[in-house]
Amino acid sequence: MKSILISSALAVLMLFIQSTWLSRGVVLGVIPNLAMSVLLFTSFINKNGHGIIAAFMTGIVADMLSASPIGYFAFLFSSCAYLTTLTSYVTEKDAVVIPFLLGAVATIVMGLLSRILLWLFSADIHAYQIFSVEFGVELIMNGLFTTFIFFLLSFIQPFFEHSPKKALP
Amino acid sequence: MKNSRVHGPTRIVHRKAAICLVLSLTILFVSTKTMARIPDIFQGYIIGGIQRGYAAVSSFFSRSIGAVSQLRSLQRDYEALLDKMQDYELRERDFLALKEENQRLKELLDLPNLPDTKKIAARIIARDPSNIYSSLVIDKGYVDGIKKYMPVIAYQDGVEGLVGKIIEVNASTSVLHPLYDQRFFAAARLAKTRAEGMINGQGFRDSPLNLLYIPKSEMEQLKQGDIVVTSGLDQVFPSEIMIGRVESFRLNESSSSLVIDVWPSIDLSRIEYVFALDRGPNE
Repeated sequence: MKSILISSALAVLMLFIQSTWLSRGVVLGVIPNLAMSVLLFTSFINKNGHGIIAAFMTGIVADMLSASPIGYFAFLFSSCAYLTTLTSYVTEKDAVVIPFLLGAVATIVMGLLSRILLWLFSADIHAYQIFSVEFGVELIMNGLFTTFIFFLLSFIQPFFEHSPKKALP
Repeated sequence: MKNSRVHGPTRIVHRKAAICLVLSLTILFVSTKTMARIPDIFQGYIIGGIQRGYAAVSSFFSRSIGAVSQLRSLQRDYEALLDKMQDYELRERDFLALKEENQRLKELLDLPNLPDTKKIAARIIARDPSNIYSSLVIDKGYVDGIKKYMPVIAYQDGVEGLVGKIIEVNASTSVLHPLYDQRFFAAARLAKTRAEGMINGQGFRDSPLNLLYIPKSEMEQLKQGDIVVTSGLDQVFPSEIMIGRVESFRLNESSSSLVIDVWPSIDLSRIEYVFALDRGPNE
């Protein structure tokens, strides 16, 4: 429970930073998805699925901050977190390659899932324009920022890890 | 002895993911179909309050750090401004003469005056945290008189231009739908030929808007730089608010209308203050 709350709180903090300090974007007006990077980290180190719950909670807050309908980012973040948790079973975390790929692939997954959501619920749903320059910039930027966030959070990793209660002898 | 090592995702992981995904889709279904709203008290005060707090902290830091470097350039700017001031005094005289002439011509043409509108000034305190949606958050809400679907304009470089419309009103903050959003539509017309169409955003701040449904017959008279204004036919935006200028246009062989790219008159990446137009009880 502690890991879920800490991860969600940090991801929500990142959402506020995205909507205020980084609101003009970093390159070509594109905002890096720092909240998603934090959730990818939590999902990767917690193989028990706590990252998915943190992603769902953060997604609901993202929906409140955004013009999106409630449930939109909750679905996108939860899906990315689930895929990251599954990935953690087949690979080990390294310094650069895996975090970069996780950030980039998560962006692609969000792009594809947003298209599916647009098809399922047409009203008020926006979808990523996958073949646009901006999407390419976001993909690379999310990869780079995820690498950076993984590096920073690795110093305080125990706060984000689920610590199961030890059974009494 | 039982092997405690985990070789693959356990059932509990799949279960947690399934619950979260189904719950998300259910909420999404409800929020898109029935427009279920979260309680105003939460959205209006707590979320709005946090956004205002962040905006305040952000502007404090940027002002403090920026002030040191700004001092040097202030002296240079002051001297340059004195020169400009003299130039503007001359221009102002010309402007007043033109204004009087314009008023006289209007009276001659017997054009009806636009109804007086109250302008509510607001500051942009936050933007959408994602790239996919493009809302702006302003620091005025229903306690300040903001209402849903109010048109929003801004002034930049001496030009009054359309910014968007209010789509969500909270107690102390409101969410604004900017004109570059992919779901933004407004009735528009070419100021010169009066041909009517519909303006639509492309989803990016740095991309031109699309002016749709202008007939091909307008092509001969159309020129780059022509002004596009609101037509007022959608009953949301007052007429004659400047939207932008024609950047390029081309024939669409499969349609009877032109494809016109319009560059907005207001650079939305630079605006800080906007004005919501209150057109009275008919809103």
